[in-house]
Amino acid sequence: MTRVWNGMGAVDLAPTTHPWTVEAAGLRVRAGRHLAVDGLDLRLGAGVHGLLGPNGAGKTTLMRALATVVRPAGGDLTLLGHDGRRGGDLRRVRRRLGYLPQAFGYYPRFTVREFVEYVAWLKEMPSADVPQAVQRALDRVDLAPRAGYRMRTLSGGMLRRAGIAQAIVNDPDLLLLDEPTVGLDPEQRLDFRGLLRDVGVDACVLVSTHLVEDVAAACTDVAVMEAGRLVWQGTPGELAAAGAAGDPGDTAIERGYSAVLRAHRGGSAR
Amino acid sequence: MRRVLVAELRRSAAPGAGVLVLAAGFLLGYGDGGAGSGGWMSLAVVQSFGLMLMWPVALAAGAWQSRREHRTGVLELVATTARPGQQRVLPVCLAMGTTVVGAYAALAVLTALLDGTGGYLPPGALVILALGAVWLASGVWLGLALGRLLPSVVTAPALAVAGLGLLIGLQSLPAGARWVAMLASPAMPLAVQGVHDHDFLELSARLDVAHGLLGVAVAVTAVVLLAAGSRRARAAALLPALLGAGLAVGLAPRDGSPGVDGVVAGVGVDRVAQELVCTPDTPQVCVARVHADLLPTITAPARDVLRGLARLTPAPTRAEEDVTPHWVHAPGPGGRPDTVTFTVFSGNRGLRPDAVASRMAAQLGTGAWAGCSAPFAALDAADAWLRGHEPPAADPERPDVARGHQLWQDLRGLPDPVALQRVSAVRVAALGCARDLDRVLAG
Repeated sequence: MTRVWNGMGAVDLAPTTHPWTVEAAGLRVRAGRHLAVDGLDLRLGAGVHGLLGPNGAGKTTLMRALATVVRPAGGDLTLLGHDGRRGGDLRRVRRRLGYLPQAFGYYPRFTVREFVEYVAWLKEMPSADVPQAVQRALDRVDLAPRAGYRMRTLSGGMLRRAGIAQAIVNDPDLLLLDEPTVGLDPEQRLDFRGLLRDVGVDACVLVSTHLVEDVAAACTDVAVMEAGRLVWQGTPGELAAAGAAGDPGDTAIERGYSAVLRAHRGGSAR
Repeated sequence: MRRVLVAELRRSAAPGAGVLVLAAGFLLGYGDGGAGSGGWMSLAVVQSFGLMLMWPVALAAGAWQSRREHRTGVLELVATTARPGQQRVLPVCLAMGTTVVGAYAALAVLTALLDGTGGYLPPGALVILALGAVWLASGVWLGLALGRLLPSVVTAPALAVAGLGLLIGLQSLPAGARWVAMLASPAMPLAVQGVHDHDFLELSARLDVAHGLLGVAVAVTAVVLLAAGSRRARAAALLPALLGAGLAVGLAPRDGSPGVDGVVAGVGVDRVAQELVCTPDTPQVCVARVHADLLPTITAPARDVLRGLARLTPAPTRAEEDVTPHWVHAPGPGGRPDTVTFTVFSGNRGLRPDAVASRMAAQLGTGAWAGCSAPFAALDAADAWLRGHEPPAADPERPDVARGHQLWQDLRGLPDPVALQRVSAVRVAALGCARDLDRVLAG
């Protein structure tokens, strides 16, 4: 069963001229020779969207396509009202984009502040706004006390927070976070969920994760991928409701996730 | 941009590159304990000599820096940002260029201080220094571009070796192809082989323009290559280098300059450096403009020499530096009996007045005159008689020494006025390039 639910309230409030921040139709994206995203249809507006799916479902490839790292092999992709496949439009999209890759690369000799400033410059932010924006981003991820530390001296959790800081420094309209909570301790994850809710008021946030409880706690909308396609989309409450007592999982939403995947696999097998 | 540039200056390989370039240049320029002669043109050539090592080091440093993007895995993140590639590479290009050119400039200042460089400043020396800076920057940018294309740990050391090999290869080109080295070697003035004293050296403007054009073209190609995001853009990046090379080859002088040793094209003599600067009082002592700061040091020993020759008829009344460089095939103005000529010896240890005076006085004040080579025996004998010294009696390797001793004994047997007349005549004959001085001395 594939259900598509549109988060109306946030969309209506967002000051955009385009109906969807992300709109994909029949999207196909290659990962090497493999077609990792194959005929995906997806619409995302403002709010926090969780992207769930088993390993190899195509989540990271989809994130990379939405982040304009890889050009789609086929289908339609509209990002922030611009064609996500045309080079000329990409620059405008990228100015309003925040992205934390699964493998977050950084310059180890830079300080945290220098690195976030560098990314702000890469995002073509007005130079007068950069110092304040960087400070605000560091404050939001609670890294301001470590702003002068070299990146190479940070722990795994701090690096992840630095990665989130660079992603949000330009107050993006589309924020893509691939496994953002890896390495964060429980308290930091709670803070991070608060940050997501905060950013998601105006922006479209897509969080790819294996941690279903993060989705339950912070997301307004959930998308489940399997074998390169979108197999389910709805609210966390609807996902939790999709599960039954006999489905695998420790929480209601985990049981719902398992049930959705089973239902899709069963349907595909038939 | 400013903040990013400052971060790159502090955090990239730029500071290390600057230190390495400075060390390489210093090692080559001062490794043997000496450098230039204290003139600005010599300083420029010493800097070029340093480029033989500085340029390969800059090339390798650029490649090392470029590995950072691949080693740290930031390319994925960077690919999602709006700033175009050509702007993105600017901070790192500027940072690396600034430190290596800064190191090059620091070495020039250091050399100037250690050598006591001063006096006449020919524009050509500044042009050579500037061209060296252009080529050094193009080297580090080329390294950045090649390091990006070949992001391997061996790229930097391999480029250092290849760069050094290329420069040595260019220096070793046969005479007929040496114009290629003059055009394409970052250490261009070194290709002027056979010229050891650079104080009078002047390179043609056409050569400077052609060499600079090629350096700028290589730099542009390197930066475009570094910023290129596709194969087509990388192929297009070669266009500036090809265009620059074509124009430079068309501009470069090919034929050797008339009167200049060897066949090196575009090499000439700096006429302004040759102009004489003289003492206002007599006996007049004159040196080339390029050595004008040495005049106070030379004046006293030169006048001592003139006093020692005062009994001759005609007696020399002035001393003048021979400003014709050794690498110019040009007949001198002819020895003038009223003038003692000398050459200036200077080096990193400074001018040695005793050495200048000794050579100036030798052989009746003709010893340093290179207009023609006279037989030594008669001149040595006459010189010894005038000074009242006994010349060496024999030298197994120089038969003319024994002959000189015999002539000296003959002179001693003559009345003083007669001997003095013959000694004076020998000096005049020697300056006129007469061959049979023994006969003149014998009357």
